[in-house]
Formats: sequence, C-alpha cells, structure tokens
Amino acid sequence: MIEAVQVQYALGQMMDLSTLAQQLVNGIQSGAIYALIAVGYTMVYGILRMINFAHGEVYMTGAMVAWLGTSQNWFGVASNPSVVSVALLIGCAMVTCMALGVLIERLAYRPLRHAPRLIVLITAIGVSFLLQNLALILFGADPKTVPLTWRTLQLGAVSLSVGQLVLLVASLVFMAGLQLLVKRTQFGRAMRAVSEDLQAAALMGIPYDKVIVGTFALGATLAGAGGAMTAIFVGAPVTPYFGFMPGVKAFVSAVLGGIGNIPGAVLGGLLLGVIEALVGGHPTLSTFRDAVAFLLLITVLLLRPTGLLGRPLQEKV
Amino acid sequence: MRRQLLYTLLAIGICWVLDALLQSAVRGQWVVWLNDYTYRAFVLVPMLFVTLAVSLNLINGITGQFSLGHAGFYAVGAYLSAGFTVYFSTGWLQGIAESWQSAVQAGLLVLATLIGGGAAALMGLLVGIPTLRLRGDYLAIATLGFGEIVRVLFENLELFGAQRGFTGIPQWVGFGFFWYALLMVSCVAVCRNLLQSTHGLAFLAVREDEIAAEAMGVPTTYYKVAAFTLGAMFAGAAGALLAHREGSIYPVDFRMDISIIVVTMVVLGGQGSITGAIVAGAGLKMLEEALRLLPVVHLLGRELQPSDFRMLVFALVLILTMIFRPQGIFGHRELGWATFARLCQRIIKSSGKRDAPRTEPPAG
Repeated sequence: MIEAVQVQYALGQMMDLSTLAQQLVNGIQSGAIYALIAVGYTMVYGILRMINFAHGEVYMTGAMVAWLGTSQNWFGVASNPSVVSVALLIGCAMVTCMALGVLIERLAYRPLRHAPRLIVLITAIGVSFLLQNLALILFGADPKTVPLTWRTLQLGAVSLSVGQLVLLVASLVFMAGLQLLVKRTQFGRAMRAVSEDLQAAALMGIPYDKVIVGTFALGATLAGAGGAMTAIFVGAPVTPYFGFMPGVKAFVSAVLGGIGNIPGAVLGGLLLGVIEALVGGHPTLSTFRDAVAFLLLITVLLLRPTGLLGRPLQEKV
Repeated sequence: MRRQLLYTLLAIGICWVLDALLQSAVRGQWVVWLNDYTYRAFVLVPMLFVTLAVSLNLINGITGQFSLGHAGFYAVGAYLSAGFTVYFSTGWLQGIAESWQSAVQAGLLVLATLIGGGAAALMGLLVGIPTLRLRGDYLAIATLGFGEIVRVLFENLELFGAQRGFTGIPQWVGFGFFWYALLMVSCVAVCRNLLQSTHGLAFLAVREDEIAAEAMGVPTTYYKVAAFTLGAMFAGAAGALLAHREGSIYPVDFRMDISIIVVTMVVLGGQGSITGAIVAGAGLKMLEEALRLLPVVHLLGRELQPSDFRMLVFALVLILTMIFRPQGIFGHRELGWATFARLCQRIIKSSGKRDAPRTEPPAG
C-alpha cells in the first residue's frame, strides 16, 4: 500500500511541469560541462585512437586553480569580484591546463606513439591516478568551495543563477570558437587531415607531432575552462577525485555522439546531462544517477557503436 | 585421479601445519618483528591480493580482456557472503553442542565462501555476456562503470548497512592463514591446470588474435565469458574471506583504487604470467606496507603521512612499466623449476668454460 502511494508520488513529481523544467535547465548546465570535456576526448580519440583517461584530471586541475586563485585573492577576485578578474582567473586555469596537457603528451604518451593500444590505455590510467594523487598530496582531500555567490534569477518556476547563465553562454562561445578553429584555420585543417589518416597526412608534409600536441593543448584548455567555471559559477566542492567521474561520463557522451565527431560530442554531452538530471530529480531513482551513464554506454555500443552522428567504421582484419 | 586427491590433501595439510606454526609464532612472539600487525600486513593482505591478481590475470593476462571492474566482484563476494552468514546462518549454530561448534562454523564458512564466489561468478556471467562484445578501451570503461555501480549500490542498500558499513559479521576465519592460503593455492592451481589443458590454449588464442581464433573454430565469446566468470568467482571468494576475517566491511574498501592496484600487479608481473602475478602481487602489497615505515613529510605547510604516497607509487610503477618494460617482469614466461634448472645449467656451463680450454669450434 505504502509502496503504491510512493510510486504515485514519484510519478506525480515527474509529471510536475515546473520540476521538469528546472531539471531540464540543470541538465543542460551540467551537459554543457560534459560537452566541454567531451570534445577533448573526441579530438584525441579521433587522432590517436586512444582514451585519454587523464583528461578528467585536467578538468580537476582547472577547478583547483580556480579555488587556489580565489583563496589567494589573485587579481582581487575574492575581495572585489568583477567581470575582468573572474575572466582572468579562468584564463589562468586554462593556461595551466594547457601546459599540463602538453606535459602529459610529451612525457607519457609520446614515448608510446607506436605501442599497442592496450599499453597506451594502461599508461593513461596510470597518468590519471598519478595526477589524482599528486593533487591529493598538494591540496589534501578536504572538499574546497570557491566562496563566490551569484544572484538567482527567477524565470517563472525555474530558478537559475547568474553564474549558471554565464557558464552556459561561455560554453556556447567556446564551442563556436572551437568549431571555427577546426573548420576555418590551417591548424584545424591539419587536425582533420591527421585524424583522417595519420600516415597519409605525414606523407603530405603535415608535422603530425605538432598537430597532436596542439590537439592535446586545445582539449586540455577547454577542460580547464570547464573545471574553473564549475568551481566558480556552480560552486561545486573540489576534491582530488572531482574530475574522475565527470571525465568518464564525458567519454560516454563522446561515444554517444559518435567518437571522433566534435558536434556529436556536444550533442552527447547535452543529452547525457539532461538524462542524468531527469533521473536524479526522480525521488526513487536518484541513487542510480551515476549508473545511467554506463547503462547508456553499453546500450549505445551494442546497438549503434558509431554513436548518433558517427560515420560507420569498418573493422580491418 | 588418486594423485590429484593426494595433492589436494597434501596442500590442505601443509596449509594447516603452517597455520599452526605461524599462530604459535605470532601468539608466542618468537620473533620480535612478527606481531599481529605485521602478520596481517605482510602475510595475510599480500595473500589476499595475490589471489586477486592471479584471478584478474586469468581475465586480463591470459584471455586478454582488459577489465577494470575487479573490485566490483570482490565487493559482491564480500557483501553477499556476509549477508548470508548474518541473516541466515546464525540460527543454525544455536542448539549445537559446544564440541561441534567449530566444525559447523568451518562448514558454514566454506558455504559462505562458495555463496560469495558463486554470486560473483553469476555477476561476472551477467556482466560479461553484454560487455565482452566490446573491445579494448570500451570494455575497460564498461567494466569500470560496473565496479562503480556495485559500490554505489552497496552504499545505498540499508540491508547492508549503507555508508555506515556492514558490521557484526561473525569472524569465523579467525587467525586466517589456513583459509587465505587455501584459497590462494586453489586459485593458482586452477589457473595453472587450466593453462595446461586444451581450454588453456583456447584462452591464449583469444588473447593473441580473436579473429583468427574464431576462424579456427574457437568459440571466442564462450571462452571470454568463461574466463570472466572464473576470475570473478575467485575475487568473490577472496571478498568472502575478507568479510569473515575483519568482521566489518565498508563500501570504501571496494573503491576503484583496488581495481587499479590489482591491474598494476598483473601488468607489472607480466600479463599472462601466473608466477609474475604472484611475485608482483605479494611484492607490491609488501612495498605498500613498507612505505608506512618512512618518516612523516612536511610539504606546503601540511603534514603528510607516508601512506599518502602509496597510490602515487602504484601510478608511477604502472606508467614506468608501460614505457620501459611493457611485457612486465616475466613477460609471458613462468618462473618454475624449469627456469631454475636452466639457470643452474647456465651457471655450471659458464664456470666450466672458464676452467677447461674450449675444444669445440665456435658455432657459425
């Protein structure tokens, strides 16, 4: 009897339009972050056919830099927050993460350029754990929140903080910028060529090592921006393990959208964010929020392994 | 058949004698450094991890299916066997005469371990059938997801104490050496015997080239799922022993770190080498414990315990092995009597060469 009432209550809440709208907005916001991380996965996978497990830790580093900056009051962010100081702080996080991305590629992945894929995968897991534990040693395990608060806007039944709004707009700008970079510049063309066929690109005189470093740097910069914005605008508590789950979920988004495909990664990220928010907002299903991504991954890989926007790939024997 | 029975009895006997010896050594403090703490840290825990590493080696090394979800099976075995003893078996012990109590306890412990292992095996079967169609990186992510889902599930199940941990499990394992050693030996024996059978060749064929194996008529999915199930079973049994030795288990005990540590052991030992997994498993776990002996470090105004560095060490070992010796310490080879014999022969030959003038002309 009680069960039945609870189920009814649960269904009732799902039907509640204002809750639905609120969860949709929250989902789009976390989806935007997934998308920012996912493009890094998808670009690296497109070129090297490897999962850069350490990408989630780059995201965590971005958030850590944002926390460090506010706690040390860089550019007067904490004492006197302004558009310029917050933007500068995010810029700092992006530059740090870019350097980290380049460093990871040079030290860990370049020596394994021609190694079997499984070996690269194991190394990537190792790098991910190395960064996590370095952060643990440097900053400790206690959760850290950036002490900035944002005014809440009430749009009908949906409440949205100014920070979340800025985050959405900024992600949109980053995505558009990335799309322009990939489609309209010399570097973008080189990147597309290398991801099409590395050897042929090398024969055409494209310096593929530089392109690979550039891809890592670009992905890491976006992940860093995502991390810093999550810490600053959403106020999520930052720990050394902050990046792992978002990283894995962003990878799932990349697969969902079709790995190697940048618009696909964005679409996948937004979709995953919304689905997760809908499940998380459901009173009885909310504990299984984290399971959704993996169920989705297995379903997509079994039913449509190329993802939503991916091209069919042929298995070479 | 009779020989196998003899070997089994012999193994049980040796484990039992060693258990009795160690027990009196620890209780009677024969040696200064051997106390309850060092016994647990340098004998029991390494044995448990050797079991985990050898069972994962069956999946990752021998069959070549990269799984990151071993902690999940370990957790399933621990929780379900503990659930069985806590909720179902305590009643059986009541009304049994004092003199029979320990025998019934041992029987129930074996039953609980079988239940834990069986549950983990069933889980391996259920997870394996859909995920083992995936290849390489995707399989790694999917199994990682499975491990996390299992942990989240036990964190939320009130029946198993949720985040407060599952406590009040009867500590039937007691001193522990006998049961831990028995599980470890049976795990190693099963893997070794399997490798020497026709089935073992099929496992290896799947690792070497799945498409070629399929073309040769090896049912690859069957063998992949079989390896997964068998590996999961031993991990579950290890979890069951852990639960009944410690008396309480917590969801944090089964974090992804455990999966990564076990993967590091398999990779360092050489994927596919059983003795490699044994040596690396015991060695790395002992190294981790030895790290605690280092002094406390002060860094950036924070006090760092030496144990804070343990995962850093594992991560570095993993990366450096992959870059400098991707085949691991032993590669695909095994360390056994044959290796010793070869080594001895080589030493004898080289010393003989130095003494006597060479009579035969150099080859080539």
